[in-house]
Amino acid sequence: MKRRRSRAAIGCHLVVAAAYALLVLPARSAPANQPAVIVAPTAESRAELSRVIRDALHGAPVTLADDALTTSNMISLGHANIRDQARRPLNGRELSRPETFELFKRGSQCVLVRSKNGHAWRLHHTRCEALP
Amino acid sequence: MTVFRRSCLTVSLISATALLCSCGGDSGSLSSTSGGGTGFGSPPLTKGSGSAWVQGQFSPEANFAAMCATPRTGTDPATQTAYPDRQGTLLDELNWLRSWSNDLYLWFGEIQDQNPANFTSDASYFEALKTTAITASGSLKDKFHFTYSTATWEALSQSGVQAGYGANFVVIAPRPPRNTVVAYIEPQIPAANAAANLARGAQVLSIDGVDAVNAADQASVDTLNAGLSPQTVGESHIFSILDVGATTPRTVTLVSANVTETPVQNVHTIATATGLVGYMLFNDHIATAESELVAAFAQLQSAGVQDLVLDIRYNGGGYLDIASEVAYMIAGPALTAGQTFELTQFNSKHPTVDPVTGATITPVGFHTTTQGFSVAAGQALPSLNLARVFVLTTASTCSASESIINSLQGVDVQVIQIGSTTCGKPYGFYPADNCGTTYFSIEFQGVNAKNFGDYPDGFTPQNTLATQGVLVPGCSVADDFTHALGDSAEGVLASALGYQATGACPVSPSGLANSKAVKSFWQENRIQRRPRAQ
Repeated sequence: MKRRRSRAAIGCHLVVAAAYALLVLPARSAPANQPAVIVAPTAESRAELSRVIRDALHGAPVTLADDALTTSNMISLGHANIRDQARRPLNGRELSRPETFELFKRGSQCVLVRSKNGHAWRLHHTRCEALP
Repeated sequence: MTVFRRSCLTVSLISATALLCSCGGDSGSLSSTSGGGTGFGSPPLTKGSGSAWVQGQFSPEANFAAMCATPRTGTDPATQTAYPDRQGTLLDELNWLRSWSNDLYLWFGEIQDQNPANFTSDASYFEALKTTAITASGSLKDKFHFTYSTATWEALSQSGVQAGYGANFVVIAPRPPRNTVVAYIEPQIPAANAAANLARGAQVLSIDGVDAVNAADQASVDTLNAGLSPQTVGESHIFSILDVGATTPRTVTLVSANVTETPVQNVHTIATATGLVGYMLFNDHIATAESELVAAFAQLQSAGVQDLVLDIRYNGGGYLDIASEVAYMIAGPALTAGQTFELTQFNSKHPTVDPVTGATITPVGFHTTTQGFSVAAGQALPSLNLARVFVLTTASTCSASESIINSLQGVDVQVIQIGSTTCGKPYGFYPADNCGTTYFSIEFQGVNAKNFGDYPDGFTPQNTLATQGVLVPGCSVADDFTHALGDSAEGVLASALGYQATGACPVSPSGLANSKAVKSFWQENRIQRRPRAQ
């Protein structure tokens, strides 16, 4: 019987892996696509990143750090840090996986890729540089 | 624990109140004459609240799913499709809860079946849909029964980012005279708060003028809660604190900001006469922990440590995959190859198939490669290949952290526990949304390679005076707030090092007195939600 589940529980690992392999890995392996990080983030670039991710997730509220994607080309998102009274995670035995995005430099463009399905967005107001 | 239950109810009631207030007219009443409603997408006549209650007889929960007193409209960000909600009644929602619990609750046979029509809110009925049994230690068997607003639960944040001060507090004594101290400081503490020079062990004497030690009225407790757990960025609160060794308090102003947690800290080696010991503080099984753990274990592997002290005294769990990675990186391939990290077991109605995912239930092994949580998936994990590990614990050590202990014991890695009894949560759930409320009801239990997972009272160091949980070799030692975490002189770590050298514990067990170190005083009054960063 099919049941309704939370976002995190919905993810099908095999589908994710397959989509990732089909859509992301080819892009990453191409010479022009390099894992990248944001440099000199601005209010505009932060707003763009937040908006793109929110739109990618169909409007789900998302909170990002000001230095998101400045030290790593991957960003992981999870449920807001809801804790019980003893400040332990409400779901301390989490079987799901986080939502992740990766940043790549494609030529002169900064491209954000949703790991789950390989969908990509160009960031127009963001400067990035390829990781060594 | 009674307080815990009441607190959950408080929040649930808030949710339910909002639900009822927003219902209007008859949609929130207990009248069951609507027969499934006549609004959008009316269900078949066999579904919905027209089904009369008969004790012990349960309709499939699908018959009542998404039949809501107040249906949501628009796109569900979780499924990226339109909300499935249809017009229903409160009774429909309660019937869904009843059938869902009967189907999935781990101890469904211990629920007293009660007529939902006798309840006036989803919160009160949900509260009744659990076992009232107690454990050997006298605790409630089910201490983990929650509801939350789906909208709040489904909000996402960058892993580890939350509103806070960069200082983490622990409540040693939850009731007056209280004792609240700084447990540890995040490396990325905001500059404004760094100037306050807070350090582990600093005692909180007052917040915003309220006596943090003795105040007992609700308004004061609310003020203290608000100060300790800022809900938004930019909040300013005045603390009076007493530093370790000081005799005169000082006043500091802390301003909340988005703080990025560093879940793995203070990785280093300690040279001893009996070999090189690695130490790491592991505070949270969040996604970013994966990359930090890989780096930490690689560092210790390169150093050639012969023992490891894994400090999980404040680690309440999180992603189970992270726990599997940690267990593998401790034990290595020889001890874990082909072995079960954890097997998830549901109730007797679902012995072979996960009732939520529909997947065949199979044991989860020890991950040997990264899982893509914060580094690319598929990279080989480092490993220390240890036959024993020291774990530092308190009552905050919970869930996935306990899985590390249990899984390693399952493959005969010797776990030596130093500290106090862990929380006792071998259970888990798939959060389930219905009509805008997400329900957390225990659905499964994790067992190790030896098919053991029965530790509802936690794991307890063997020489603890009053046995609480499953005994583990090691020493009962109170948390020592007079030294920094990772300092070889810190009491718990020092005891681990002493045991590593001599196999003996300190003369006087001290962990029990501190075993409820993080039971916070706010649980006396209301549920406390970790603030969502903005």
